[in-house]
Amino acid sequence: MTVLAQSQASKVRPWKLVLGGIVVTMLAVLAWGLTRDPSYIPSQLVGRSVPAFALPELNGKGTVAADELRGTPLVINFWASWCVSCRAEHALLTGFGREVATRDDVRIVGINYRDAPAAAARFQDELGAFSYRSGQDPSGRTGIDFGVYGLPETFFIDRDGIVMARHVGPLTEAALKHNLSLIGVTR
Amino acid sequence: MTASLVKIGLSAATTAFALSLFAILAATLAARGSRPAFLVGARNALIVNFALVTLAAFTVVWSFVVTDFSVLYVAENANSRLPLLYRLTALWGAHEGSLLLWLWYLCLFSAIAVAIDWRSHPLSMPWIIATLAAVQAGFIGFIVFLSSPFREIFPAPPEGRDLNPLLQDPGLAFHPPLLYMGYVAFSVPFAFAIAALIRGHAGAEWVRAVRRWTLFAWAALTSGIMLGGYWAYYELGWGGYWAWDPVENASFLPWLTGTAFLHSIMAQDRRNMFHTWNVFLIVTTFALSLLGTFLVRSGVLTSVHSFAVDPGRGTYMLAFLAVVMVAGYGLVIWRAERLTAATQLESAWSREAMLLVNNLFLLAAAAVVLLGTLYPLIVEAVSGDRVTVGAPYFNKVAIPMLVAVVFLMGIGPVVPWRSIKARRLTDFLRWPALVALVAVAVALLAGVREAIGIAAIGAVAFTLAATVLDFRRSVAAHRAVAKGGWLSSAWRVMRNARQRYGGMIVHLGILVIAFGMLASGLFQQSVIVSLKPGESIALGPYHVTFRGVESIDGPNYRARAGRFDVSRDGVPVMEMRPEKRSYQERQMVTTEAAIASSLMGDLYLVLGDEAAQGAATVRGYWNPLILWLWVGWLVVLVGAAVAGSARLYGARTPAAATVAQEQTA
Repeated sequence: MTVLAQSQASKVRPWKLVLGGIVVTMLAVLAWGLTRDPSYIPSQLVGRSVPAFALPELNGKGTVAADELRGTPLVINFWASWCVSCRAEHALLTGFGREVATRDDVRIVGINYRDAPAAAARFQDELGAFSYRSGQDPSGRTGIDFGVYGLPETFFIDRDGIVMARHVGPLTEAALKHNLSLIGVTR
Repeated sequence: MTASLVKIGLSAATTAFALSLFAILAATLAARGSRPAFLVGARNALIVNFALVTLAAFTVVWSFVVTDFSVLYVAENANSRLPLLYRLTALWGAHEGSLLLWLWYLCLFSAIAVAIDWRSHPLSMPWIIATLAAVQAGFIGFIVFLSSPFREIFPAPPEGRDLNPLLQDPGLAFHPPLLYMGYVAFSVPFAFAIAALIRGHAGAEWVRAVRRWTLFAWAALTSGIMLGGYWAYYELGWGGYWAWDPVENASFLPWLTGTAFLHSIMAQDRRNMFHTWNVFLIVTTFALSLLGTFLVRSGVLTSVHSFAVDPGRGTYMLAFLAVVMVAGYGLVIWRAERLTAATQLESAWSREAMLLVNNLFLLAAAAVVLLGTLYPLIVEAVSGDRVTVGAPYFNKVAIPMLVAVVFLMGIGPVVPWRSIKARRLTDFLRWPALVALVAVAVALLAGVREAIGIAAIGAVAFTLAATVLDFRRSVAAHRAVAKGGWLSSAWRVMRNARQRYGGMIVHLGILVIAFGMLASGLFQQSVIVSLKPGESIALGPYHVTFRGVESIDGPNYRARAGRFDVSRDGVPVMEMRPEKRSYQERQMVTTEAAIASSLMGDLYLVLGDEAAQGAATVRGYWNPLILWLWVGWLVVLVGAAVAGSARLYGARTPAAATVAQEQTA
């Protein structure tokens, strides 16, 4: 008995190694996760057709629909008034929107995600109106189709309606340029 | 004037930080040298900390009440037009305040725990205090140094930003505090477990002391999760209540392991078994609670719920999590030999064996959900590929395990401790099995073809029958002895064994929830049609006739309202009016769905675009029995309260224990 007990005590039990291994692995993965740039999140959508949507326009005058936007490379930006990071990309987006208005090889629309229209209007009053249309998605239903995780998110769609890239987090000049090149648009 | 108020808050929090460090030191010295004066000092420090943190939290809340925009956190999360209720709940509207709420709960629970168990656990108390103080120090340090809600801005902006509109809803306003209450209440059982581990003496006392804490934490966590689902269903309006979002998973993980812990501590109480297992489970549950906070707040996994990404904060939280995990699991590994159970499993057909199997399923479910949540990180770390894991994975791997748990809920409680003869067990389970077969046959006739749906229907029916029959047997046995009526006997049986029947009521509540999930999941109907006036559609038991669209004027909007006559079996029952509103001033359009909710199911109508000749697009859903999810939640809460009111087996007098044993045998 005592010999058996001793030999058990001197040998490390397997479950201890497994438990220790799991703890260390998990912490390592989480630590590594912190070093990662969270703005490049994969999307199952990339390589697929853009999900169909038909949303009432934020100004109440019409609809923003996927069908009518086919045929030209398209940028879709999800934003909301409560999203702090959306403020960081606002100037870039409105500037890009003014540029897009003068050319016909690319288009851009916004989708106002899980937001109150009045709050969305205040947001634009404060920071400047978008130079392009936004559809409203108050229930987040369209966002779910797109797999939107955290705002802002921007999707880049080529002329055939295939999603080519997804950018999570505020857009930068470089990211915009890079992603536009993926849908055949030079800037 | 009020600007100085948050300065007081910051000073209070800083003092609390110093006191928590003092408490760790004093409690450790008290344990080493058994110096009672040090221990009293450490205890008092925890109690003073509660007062200090309450004051600190109050300064922030008051700044919201008076909308003092010189406080950065207030300016970022409230404006003067926000109603008072939402200015109060804005405290947990963002990162800094959420953590302050977390800390406040922690200090409240710490103070209560040391006050209640001060005399009953003298030998463990130094380590309990040291552990709680250490967790406090971790959180206060974070709040004071890295994520301060007390920061001021100068000059103060004239107006603040709006609170995230998602939080401007009663359902969501109270979802985070309930969830946090659950997370944080697990810190008390955790501290008792750490004390037991350090002392190398994990008998049954500590599980008895933490049973009510565990029940409370579990009930709060359950409520937080259910309230979140309620809000998702009624406010988001996409017909679902659970999306397997990483943040939802983060709250579900400690629920799964906490449920396992709640069950397995019974085995330690009754049979003096599962010592190592129980400390492992509570360390895991607390670590997962922290992981939940970490995932939401660090940006490691992006989610609908998290917006601010700050690597400094993430690093701190990860370090904190690492300390908790290394210390907790390290102690489990180091002390395991000292915790060998006094008794062994006698039979595979015993309550303790059933509890073990239940634990394994719950833990396996937690493992696959955790794996699915972290999988994108793991894959990217190993191969550089980026993947996402969606609902199909979780439904495929986690649901079967949960169905197995429901099935075990039927068997476990009827199997006595130690062992049961096969003959008696088949006697007990014959009727439930028959009921399950009938339910499965009915489901097949009703057109259910999904294997997992059929299995779930069988499991729910089986467990419902087993639970009801078990109660009936106990009442019959009581009547045979006491000769009372059915009702009075039922009352006495219930009152004499509140722990057991409280648990059974919780089981019934879970079954009701499962019933609602199954019915609404398997039999939902949805249509999108274009209707002309006079045309009608069938949805569930109802006949919905479109009568046309009319204009109405609201206080600050004009609306187009659809009129729908709803009839059932040819009898008109109600009129529903989904609206499309356009707010003139802002030139905005919103849709107002019409929902008719009843225990039979919810009828849900949305008015879409109008076309020529008065026609309109209509979206309609019939979600059968979905209200039962929340009825089941109430039943669960009643059961938890009944169970919590009972004293434990081991804590009873011998005479009372004998009676109880007879009751449940």
